[in-house]
Amino acid sequence: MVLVRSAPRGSEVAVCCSKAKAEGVRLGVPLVEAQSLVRELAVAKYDPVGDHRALIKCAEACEQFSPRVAIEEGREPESLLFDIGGLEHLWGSEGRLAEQINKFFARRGYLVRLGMADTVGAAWATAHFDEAPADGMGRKNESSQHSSLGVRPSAFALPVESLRISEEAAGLLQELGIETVEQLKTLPREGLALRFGEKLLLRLDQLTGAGREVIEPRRSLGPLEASYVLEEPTADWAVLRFVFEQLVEQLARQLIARNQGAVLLVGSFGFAGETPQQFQVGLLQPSASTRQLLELIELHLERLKLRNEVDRVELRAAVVGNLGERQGELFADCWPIDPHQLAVLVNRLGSRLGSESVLRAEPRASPVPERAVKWAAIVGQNDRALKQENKKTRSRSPSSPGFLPARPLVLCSKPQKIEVGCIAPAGPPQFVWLEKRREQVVESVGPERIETLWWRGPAVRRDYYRVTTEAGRQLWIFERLTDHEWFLQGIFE
Amino acid sequence: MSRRIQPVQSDERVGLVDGLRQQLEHWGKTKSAEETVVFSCGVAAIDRLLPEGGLRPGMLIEWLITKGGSGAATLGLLSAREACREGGALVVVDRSQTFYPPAAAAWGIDLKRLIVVRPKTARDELWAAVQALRSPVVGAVWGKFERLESRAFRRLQLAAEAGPTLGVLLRPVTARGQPTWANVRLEISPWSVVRGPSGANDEGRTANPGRLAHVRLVHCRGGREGGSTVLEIDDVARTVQSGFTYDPHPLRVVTELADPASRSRSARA
Repeated sequence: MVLVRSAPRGSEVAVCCSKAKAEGVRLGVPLVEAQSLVRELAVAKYDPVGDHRALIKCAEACEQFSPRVAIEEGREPESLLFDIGGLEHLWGSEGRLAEQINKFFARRGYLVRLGMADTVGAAWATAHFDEAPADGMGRKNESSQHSSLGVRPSAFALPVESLRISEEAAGLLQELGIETVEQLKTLPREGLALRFGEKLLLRLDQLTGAGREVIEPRRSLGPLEASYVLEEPTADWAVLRFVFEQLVEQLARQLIARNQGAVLLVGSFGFAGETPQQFQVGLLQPSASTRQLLELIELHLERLKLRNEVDRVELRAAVVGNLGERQGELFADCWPIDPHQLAVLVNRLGSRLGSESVLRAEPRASPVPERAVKWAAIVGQNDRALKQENKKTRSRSPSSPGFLPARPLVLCSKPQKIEVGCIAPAGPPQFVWLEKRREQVVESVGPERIETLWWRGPAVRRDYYRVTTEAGRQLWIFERLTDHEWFLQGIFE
Repeated sequence: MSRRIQPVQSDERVGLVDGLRQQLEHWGKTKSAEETVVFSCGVAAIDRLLPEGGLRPGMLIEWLITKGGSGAATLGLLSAREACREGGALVVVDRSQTFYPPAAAAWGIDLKRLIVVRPKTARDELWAAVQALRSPVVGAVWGKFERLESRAFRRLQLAAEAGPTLGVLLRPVTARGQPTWANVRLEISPWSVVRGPSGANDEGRTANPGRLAHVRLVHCRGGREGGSTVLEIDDVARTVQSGFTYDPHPLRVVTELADPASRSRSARA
């Protein structure tokens, strides 16, 4: 069976079963190719959002087995994690519990693989890679006789993919001849960290039990929020600051009690008889520090204009994360300095200037200059203006390092129409009109033709020239070949 | 009875001035500056103009641009690149929203360590620059600042020292008459675009003309100003070649010290 998704050239395989894989079907191949490899191939639409919804429903239903049921981390999770510590007496034994879980899913038409161990990592590895994990649920007791860590020795014989590492990292390890977790354990940790990053060691420790991993229940223990009702409506910032101090302190206490930090705060000012005025403060790393959260809120409020006098203030942690976790992959792997300090800076800048004003640039493989960069807000989501700007960037593939012809450091956000004078009809310009002044061109280099392919949206056909004016300015201008209009694209500064 | 002061001989005067300059340089250095390491500004010819042969983290370098397109942004970016060699982030304060990262990447800037800040007002622009300069994770801050009052400039300087972070400030030449808190102030103007025999063809056009820029050291804390050099910035090969360098005269022409003897005479009169 395969699950397919639509691609520019028709449907392609997004997920395939092991049988199809054995027949030679690979992920990303066109559906017609997969059908040519496997007769009577069952095909269904790939729906990750629907899958995720179904997984959430399963997690909620499974709270009858454990009060702490979580969905595994990752972009496309497929596993549920149960904390069953101290629950054996309720079910008689772990084997009975496993039996009940199997029955529960079978009734709903699911075939599941279960793994039980003393660590999340070992249970995940067993469920995914052990040959017959579902039938031996009492193994944990058996294993504890063999291993002081409570993980069956056979877990170490599992392949390195069982460590929940990326395919690239697993592939690289296999290329080096490291096939199993056991082999990996014998290697020096320093060398592993240098070559594969700290994540590999973290996953190894989480499997063996040397590293901590907590199952965070999917269903929250209650909303993380605090509110304050003012006796008299006010717009006095001194009063509101005091209110926020109280609210942040309350919220921080709640967060610390759960070992979590806020990633997105949503504040709300209530006005009598009017819709509330909301604001958001995003953070790069989860934080439960009263001082930091208060500072970020204050920076944000500096540019907020209240619509009216406030009679109620609410503060909610809309998105939370485990303390010590890093959000996203900003500067990951290349940052030799304190990520906390980086988060402090980015959070401060984002809080006052707005997350849409603190950006990172992602180069894109496009010959058209204005499409060769994609902007992304470092904290939070891109706003509408940024999304609009990025719409120009049609290329989804990142640019590969290579030779780039001369490009100016200053690029007009939109090419500016200019007047030029040429002696030959298709020749280089002899003078340009800039800021209502005629400037003689003393040198010019070009043309550099830039064209786009017809299937990449509206076609671009331009001849670029690098011209030096008598004033010493070097401009990057182009002639649009479709209508022979001239534009200023950038300035070499 | 007044004591007549003997006129100081020229050699002695040079020695006296050098000694005073060294003392000023010593007093002008902060403790943090002494602990930091000198690094190249990215162009050897400009390094030769600087008293320590380069820059230090915590310095402000101010580029005065006489006319647009003269190369200050590129040369400033090279200094920022060198300041970030140890792994710090580069913060670009880009109020005009015209900074083009692919061009910066071609000059060796690591985009993974680049933070572009787009403030909407001049006030936010200054605030963002101060925050970035003060941050220990930032190696350099690069930005254009049209107007900078003395107090605001001082804030930038204190923030840069606190970092310690290199600040690269691109400013219009109209700021020349204003007081500066920068450690180094350089003025850049386009050099004559008439090519020598090496680069020109018959039509006066070259296959790849680099930008010729004249860089002059206008102010340098604890150093000699007046030195200048001509550079050719090649945007294709991404190199900066030095043309020729003018050595500064050991004594300043404009602010030459008055002759002690004549000063004493005028005092008595």
